Amino acid sequence: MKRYFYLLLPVLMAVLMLGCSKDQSPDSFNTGGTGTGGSLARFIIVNNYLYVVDDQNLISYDITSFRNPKEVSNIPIGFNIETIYNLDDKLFIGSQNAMYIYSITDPARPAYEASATHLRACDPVVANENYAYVTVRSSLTNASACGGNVNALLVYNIADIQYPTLVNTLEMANPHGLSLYGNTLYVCDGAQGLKIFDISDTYNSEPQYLKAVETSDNIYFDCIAKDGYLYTMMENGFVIYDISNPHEPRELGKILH
Amino acid sequence: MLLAMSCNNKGDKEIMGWAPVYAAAEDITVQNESPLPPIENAGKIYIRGDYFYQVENGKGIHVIDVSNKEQPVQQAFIRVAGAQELSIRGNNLYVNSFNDLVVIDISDVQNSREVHRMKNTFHMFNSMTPPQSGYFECVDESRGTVVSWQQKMLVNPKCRY
Repeated sequence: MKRYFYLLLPVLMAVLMLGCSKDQSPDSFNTGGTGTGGSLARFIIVNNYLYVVDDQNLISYDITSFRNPKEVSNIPIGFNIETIYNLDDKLFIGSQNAMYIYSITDPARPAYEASATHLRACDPVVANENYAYVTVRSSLTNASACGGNVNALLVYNIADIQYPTLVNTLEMANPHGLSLYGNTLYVCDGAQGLKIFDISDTYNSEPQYLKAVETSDNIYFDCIAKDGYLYTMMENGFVIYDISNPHEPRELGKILH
Repeated sequence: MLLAMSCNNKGDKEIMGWAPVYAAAEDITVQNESPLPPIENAGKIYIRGDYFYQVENGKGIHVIDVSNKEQPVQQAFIRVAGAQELSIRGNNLYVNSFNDLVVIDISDVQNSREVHRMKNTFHMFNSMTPPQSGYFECVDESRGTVVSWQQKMLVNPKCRY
């Protein structure tokens, strides 16, 4: 019996491999089939779940069956929710006046862990194990939409996740999205360009400003740093940078209308 | 508000208020567009492997081949009315169409097609109430998804908040 099993093993493996290659490219193999969105996103996929934040709620969909999502929970979070971000088993949710942290240890039922309120303004969040970085922005076009009159990069110490504490406030022009890449933080500061900060010194919570990068007077809204490249969302398209040296982005291609 | 209120000769109350604008039936479809439209009202971004995706706000998703980073090439445009958000898993694109969650099969991106839709599953568009408090024309859900509101003179409006 055992002998037959060993004879069958290569056949079984071949069948399994065929079964996989049929609907997944090698790329999606490595990433679990999921890509990366920007910090302004309201949709995020973590393993078998799609999390969506609408105006007030966090809605979880089980997408184990890819094409048959099932809503498994719908949790009221607060008002004017705008963004969602994932780090390990935590979700960071940005609203117009707060950052909320939810645990997805039970992925179908995110559980409240902590929140930190700040001045009314619009705000995406990114985080590493030590700090959460939040931009707050007063809207230029519609003051009532975001309220507030503050434009800044806020740094929260989240070493104790239950008690996020504001440790730094850096004034900015009109910051939108942001992206972490190892020890580098990129902040899309609207018409002021893409601002680059060094955050390698974990004992000093203040990001060290290095420089700003601009492309043809465009407005930077959001960015994704991934695998040596930075993709920026602009007012009328996108730009791709080589960030093999993260402090010196080198413009590659773009489509700008 | 009081100033805008008046009574016509039939005794009906006329008042300036908000009326819902419903999505046209043809807006709620997924289709591939050719020739490819330019990126104009650029929206949120997403990267997976050699493909970069950018939302055309309210209109759909641009699919861009970035295998050559110096020369990104637009490859497809998937028209999804009301689109603002996206995420991908396997060969499936998850996107909102107004307040619907739509799953689109992108295994052959030129022939993308809707494979699942959850209607009104979230309130991405906070569309059930008008942008300002006051009188408004009540929403009739049988007429479809409310995509925006317009100001107009209402006769005997029954809804108010």
